[in-house]
Amino acid sequence: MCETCGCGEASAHVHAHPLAPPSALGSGQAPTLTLPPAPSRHIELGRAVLADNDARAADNRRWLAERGVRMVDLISSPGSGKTALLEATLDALAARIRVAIIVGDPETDNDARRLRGHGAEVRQVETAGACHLDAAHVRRHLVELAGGGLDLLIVENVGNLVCPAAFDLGQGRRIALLSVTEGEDKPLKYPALFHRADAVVITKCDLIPHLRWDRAACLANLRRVRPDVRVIEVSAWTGQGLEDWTDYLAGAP
Amino acid sequence: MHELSLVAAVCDEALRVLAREGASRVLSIRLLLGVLSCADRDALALCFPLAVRDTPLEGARLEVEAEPLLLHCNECGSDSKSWDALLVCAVCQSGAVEVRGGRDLVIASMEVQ
Repeated sequence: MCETCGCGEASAHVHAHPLAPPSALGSGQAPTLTLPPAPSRHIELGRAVLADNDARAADNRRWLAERGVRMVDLISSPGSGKTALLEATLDALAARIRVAIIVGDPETDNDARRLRGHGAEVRQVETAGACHLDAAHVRRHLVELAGGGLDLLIVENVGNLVCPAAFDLGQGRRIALLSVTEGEDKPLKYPALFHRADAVVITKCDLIPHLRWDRAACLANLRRVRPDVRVIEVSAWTGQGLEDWTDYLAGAP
Repeated sequence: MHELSLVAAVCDEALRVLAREGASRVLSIRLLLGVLSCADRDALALCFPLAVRDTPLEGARLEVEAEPLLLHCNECGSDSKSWDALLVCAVCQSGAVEVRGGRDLVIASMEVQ
């Protein structure tokens, strides 16, 4: 800054402009200037908060498609029977096609230990308390599980009907599980998940004789949030519906 | 409860915008919270001050505006809004509707200085 007049130019220059008033110059020191605050600016963005995850999921989807690997994301509440269904699924499918599983849980590898020995590679993701898997979690296991050739990758998401629905993993199909003990109105209580589900598997159907389960009400509720949803009714215990389910999985995109 | 992850993603984007615009601070961030976005307004508000502490975003104001579902009916052709998450046309009650908005959490705009 010019010390003679405080004009903001380099110090050696001709003073063609009037000098600052003496009061501002004080005892020969540069006057302190207070700059007006920079004007604020409004910036329109319109960007999805999860755009980064969506981009990673799109990478996963492309990577899998290039190798002919199908991926499904299974989402449900804790205790709805995902792991039991997967044990029965692997027993039926692993002889026909190459299957691998990624299991997400906040803590423990109990589910992975249950699923091993059924003919599929299994990887446990312990999310350290987080309530969902994201595309990066899946990406970390893709090369190891699918790089050597694979037909179907099943992701057993963290048991939760809310958060996992928001995170695209790169799956071909998102499948919600709903057990008959949970009540017919779950689709209305958790519409975000059921709205995004390509198929809904109703589990534990062997328990229906012991429950006040209103099948028609459940199906009507599902159709209110996802009018064209595919519904598959199963029991991992008796084997009911398992053929429909495994055929659906084997043919999933 | 994944709102802390969402807020962290909001902060990442806000810092990118701050650098791109050559601005020094963010005054406010406006979010659109879709009916089907799986996020909770109060939880977002709770997480935001924690996420911005000791960052260039500290002091920014978070504004969250609810966004209804935007539905287009394939039966009667009308567009309608819905504040609950039911996929039913408000005009003809048909379930043959497409969701054209209100599904996501979106960073609508920012005020920077």
